[in-house]
Order: sequence, then structure tokens, then C-alpha cells
Amino acid sequence: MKNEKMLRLLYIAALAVAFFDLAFIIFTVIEVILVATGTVFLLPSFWILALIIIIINTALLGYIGVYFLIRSKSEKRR
Amino acid sequence: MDKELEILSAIKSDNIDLFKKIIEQKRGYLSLCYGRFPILSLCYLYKSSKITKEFEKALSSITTYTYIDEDYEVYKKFRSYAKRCLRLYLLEKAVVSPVEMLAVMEESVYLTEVYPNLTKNEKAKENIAKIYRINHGQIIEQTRDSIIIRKKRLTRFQKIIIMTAIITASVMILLSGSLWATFNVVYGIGTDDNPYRISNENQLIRAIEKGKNSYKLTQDITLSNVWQAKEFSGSLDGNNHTIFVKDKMINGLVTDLSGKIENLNFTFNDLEMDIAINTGLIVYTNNGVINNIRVTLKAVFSEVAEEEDVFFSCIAYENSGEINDSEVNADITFNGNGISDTYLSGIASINNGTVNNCATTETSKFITDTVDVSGIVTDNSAEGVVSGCVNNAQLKQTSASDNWLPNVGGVVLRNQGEVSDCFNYGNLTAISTATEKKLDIYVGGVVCINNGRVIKSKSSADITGSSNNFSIYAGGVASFNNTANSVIDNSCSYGKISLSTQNEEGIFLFAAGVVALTRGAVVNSYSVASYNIDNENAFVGGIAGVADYFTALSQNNYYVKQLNVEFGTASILVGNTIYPGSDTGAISQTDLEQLKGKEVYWG
Repeated sequence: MKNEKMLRLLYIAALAVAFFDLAFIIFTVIEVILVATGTVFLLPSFWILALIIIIINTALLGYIGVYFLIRSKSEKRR
Repeated sequence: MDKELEILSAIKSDNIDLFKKIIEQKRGYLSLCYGRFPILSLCYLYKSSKITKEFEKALSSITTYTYIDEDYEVYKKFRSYAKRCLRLYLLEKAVVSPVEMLAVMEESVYLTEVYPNLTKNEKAKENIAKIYRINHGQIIEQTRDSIIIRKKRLTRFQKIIIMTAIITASVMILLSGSLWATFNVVYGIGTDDNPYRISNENQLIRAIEKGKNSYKLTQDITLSNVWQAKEFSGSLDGNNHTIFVKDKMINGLVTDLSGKIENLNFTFNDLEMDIAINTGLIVYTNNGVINNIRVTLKAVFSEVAEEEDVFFSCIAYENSGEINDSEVNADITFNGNGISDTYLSGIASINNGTVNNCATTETSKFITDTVDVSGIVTDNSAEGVVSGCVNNAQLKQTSASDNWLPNVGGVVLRNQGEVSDCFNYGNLTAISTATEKKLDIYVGGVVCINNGRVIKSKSSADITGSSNNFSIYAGGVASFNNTANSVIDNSCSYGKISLSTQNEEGIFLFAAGVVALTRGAVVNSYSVASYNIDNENAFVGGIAGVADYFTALSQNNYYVKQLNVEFGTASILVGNTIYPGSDTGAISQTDLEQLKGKEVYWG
């Protein structure tokens, strides 16, 4: 894959991850408010979502790392 | 013309055998140029590595080409690489030299490697520089035999995007991890190891509504809304915090407990309320475990039931599970209406399970009017076990009803099961001011009416009974050992028993260190009780006040001789006739020191 394509994919991935991050933050804020007011106890979905957020952000960082690695060796030999 | 097409086909498919076969027929084919594309450029374009490897040297030295028609497919492929640099090759006779092809395809490393060996004129060098600048955004430096291609730099925008992504991702990883750890500690996950934390009333309401999972209080809670009791099968650990109930929880915290409630204090404000139904202040029915509950209560109750019996207890109405290590500190005044039977007890009204190591405090007072009262349990069923319990509460019942038979028991009111290792230190009083001679008063230091087994239990409290028209049965351990299977074993009493009446006709006073009236067995028991009874119709025994003629064999009992005690068993009842008693099964002792020498003595 060419660097440009990887970079473009990186933009899309970063945007998607940012969207999920924002959704998670909103979910967490609402969850904390509901828990503090005694409306609910912490939902099991919080732990799953937190784990997903950790995984996708780690994956994004990994992808960025791979991008730079490939970029530095992008012109491979024939 | 067919050969040229075959050569092109061989290049596209990297068919070295076909290519070699045609070239061997005529070496001149190597100088073919398909429109703008010499053979070596086509080999680079189609990545024909086998042909390139074998013929690169020969092809790179060619400077003069034999031009034939350009293949449109080749053009299309080249166009996809060339993009904006395609304009460099629009002029007639323009040739995409091999070095330029490598530049277009951004094969920078390979280009650097073969650059010295490939033929390039000034125009080609100029085009290479343009290609790198326009297409790849890179600056190159070319000398006669080398090319230096500087690494492509990210634009400022790209750098910002990537740095933002890196920082955001890192922050989110840290944030999610921190939230994970923090919420795990602060809120819990509802397991026994990590229960949900409760810090306010609403959370407590949700916990009981949810009915399962494990919960732990992190703060004291003051109820502000009327509590709705629900079934609960989870685990609630009060963490020794207190729920300040005020008057908001009169039907219990839980209706049916099949889980566990522990380490929790309840403080009720001054309650004034009518009681019409059976009530357990914390749990209605316990099928689970209650550990280390403390109930503090000051209340005035009035019974308003007209048909059904009414039981009131400070912890559970009915216990079929376990109640352990719990304590009641209560000042209760309970006025019955005398219509239906009414009962008050500290821990549980009906016990089918285990009540273990529970107590009432020394400051507790249960003062009732026409309500039968006991310190720990009202009815201990045949399956019930009450052990290690201590009543320190003062229990006092008065009644003016002619139809009311006052019962007072230090620990248990009515026992059909087992009462063991229980102690009563609270003074017991039963007074009837009835005006008709109809009924009796029963007061027992540990148990009032025993149909089961009382084992190694003790009362050190003073017992007082008074009535002008009711006979009184007051026993240091039990008032009434009711059946042939009833057993009082290795139990004792130390307090003073005071009975009084102004009426000496048809009224009998039965008092004894262990049991006032027995039909069952009394074994290995002893009494140090003293008596304050001055009445001609009083029967005061060291062990029993009156024993049924058909009573089970009593043996190995001891009592410290007192002035008004003539026999171990003061009288024998045959039918409706009372005969003088005897010392059968009971041995008098001169003092406590002598008693301490007997094997039955334990303190």
C-alpha cells in the first residue's frame, strides 16, 4: 500500500476513533451523573466500552507506528 | 509486427522464455520503443523482474530507439502513475526513459541504486527533478553518477493531524484505564469481592429494587422518603454505617430476604404508631443471613388489630435463616387492646432457623400493657435454635384485662426447639390488675413456656409477679416446662423472685429457682435464687414450684437452701389437688461455695 493511501486511511481511522472516544466520554459523563444520583448502578456495558476504547486507541497508535515504519522503508526493492 | 506485440506481451506477463526466444532471433528488438516507452521502461512499469534482471544491462545502454505504435493499455497504466507529470510527455517524440519511469513510479531506492548505470540526458534529469517535486513533493539532487532523494516530509497539516491522533489516543487510553480503575474502586461491580458502593438514599432504593448483586455502604444514610420494602436476594454490607430511618420505614427494609444483610445499623426516631399487622422492623421474612445488625429505637406503639394475632419484632418477623451477632437497643412502650394476642420481642417473632449470639442492650426497656413480651424471640419452633443470646433489657408487662394471661420470658416466650447458652440479665415484671379470678401469670427467667429443650442457660435477673386475682408461675429458668418431652438441662438462676398478692383465697403463687410448673425433665440444673414471697398459698421450691404427678424424672439438681424453701420440688399436682413436695432429684446446698463443688456447676 502506498504511503498516501495509508495516510488517508490513518485520517479516517483517527476520525472514527475520535468519534468513538467522544461517544464514550459522553456516555461516561451521563453514567456518572446517573450513578451519583442513584438512578442506576454502573452498567456492565461501561466496562466493555472502556475496554473497547482502550483497544481501538491502542490499535490506532499501533497503526500510526506501522505507518511510520513502512514510510521509512516505503521504497522497497524490486 | 507480431513479434513486437509478442515482446510487449512477454513484458506484461514477465515471460522471460518468450522474451529471450524472440530477442535471440533478432537482437535489434531490444531497441524498440512503443510510442513513448522503451522496453526497459515497460519492464519497470510492469515490474517484470525476470526480464529486467537478465536484460537490464543490455537495455540500459541503448540510446537510439526504433519507434513503433504506442499501446493504449500501457499509456493508461503509465497515466495512473504519472498524474500531473503526464504533461511532461505530451510532446511528439517525447520518451519516458527508464530513470524517469522509476521516478514516476516513486521507486526511489531502486532509482538511487541503478542511477549510475542508466543512460540519462539533461532533459531526463530535468524531468526527474520535476516528477519528484510535483508528484512526490520531494527535492532531489543529481550529479553525474548519483542521485540524492531527500525523504518526503510531512506537511504541517499532516503533522498536526497525526500528533493530534497520537495525543488523543494516548489520553483516551490513560483516561479509560484510569476510569476503569477508579470506578472499580469507587462504584464497584456488584460482586461479592467488589460490591456496588452505596452512598445515598436513591442508591439504596435502587439496590433493594434490583434485589440481587452485592452492595456496600460507604456513608451513613438518612431516609427522606417513605421506604418501600422489596424482596432481596443479594448481599448488603452496611460497613458499620447507619441508616437513619426516622419514621420512614415501618414495613421493614426488606420483605423477604434470601440473601445477606450485615454490619448495618438502624436508628429509628421517636416513633408513635398504631400496629395492626405483624411487623419486623428490618426484615419481614428472613430465609437468608442477617449478621451484625444494630437497631436503635425509641417508640410508643398501640395495637389496633381486632382479629388476627399481632407479632412485633425489632429485626425480623419470621426467621427461617440465620440471625447472628445482632443487637437491639430499644425503649419500647407497647399498649395492646386485649382483643387479639399481641407479642413483642427484640430479635425475631417466629424462629424456624438460627438466632445466634444476639442481644438486647442494658439500656433497653420493653414496657407493655396487655402485650406478651420476651427479650429475643417470641416463638421458637421445633426447628428453631436460639443460642448464645443475651437479654439485658428490662421487660415489664402490666394488664388490667380479665381475659388476658400475661406471659413474660427473658430470652424466649415459647420454646418448642432448642435454647442453649442463653442468658437473661434484664429484670422481668408481670402485673395483672384483673378483677376476676380466671387466669394465670407466667414469668420465666430464660423461657416462659418450654415445650422443647433449654440447655446450659442462665438468668441472673430479678423476677417480679403481682396479681390479686390471677395465680402466678415464676421460674428462674422457665415458668412452665410444659410436656413430658420438655427438658431443662444444666441451667441455673441467681436472681431474686418476688411474688405478691393481696388475695389469699383461690390464688396460688408458684416460684422456684429453675421452673415454676413442670411436666417435663429438669436435669443437672441448679439454683442460687432467693425469694421474697409472703403468702399462705405460695409454693416455693429450690428447683420446681409444682411438678405434675406424671412428670418426667428429674435428677441431679442442686439448690442453695433459702429460709422459705422446704423442698427441691415444693408441691406435687395430682389432678386438681396439690400435695406437699419432696427433694426427689434435687439436693439442697448450704451455700454457693458448696454448690461450686458439684460437677453440674459452670458459673
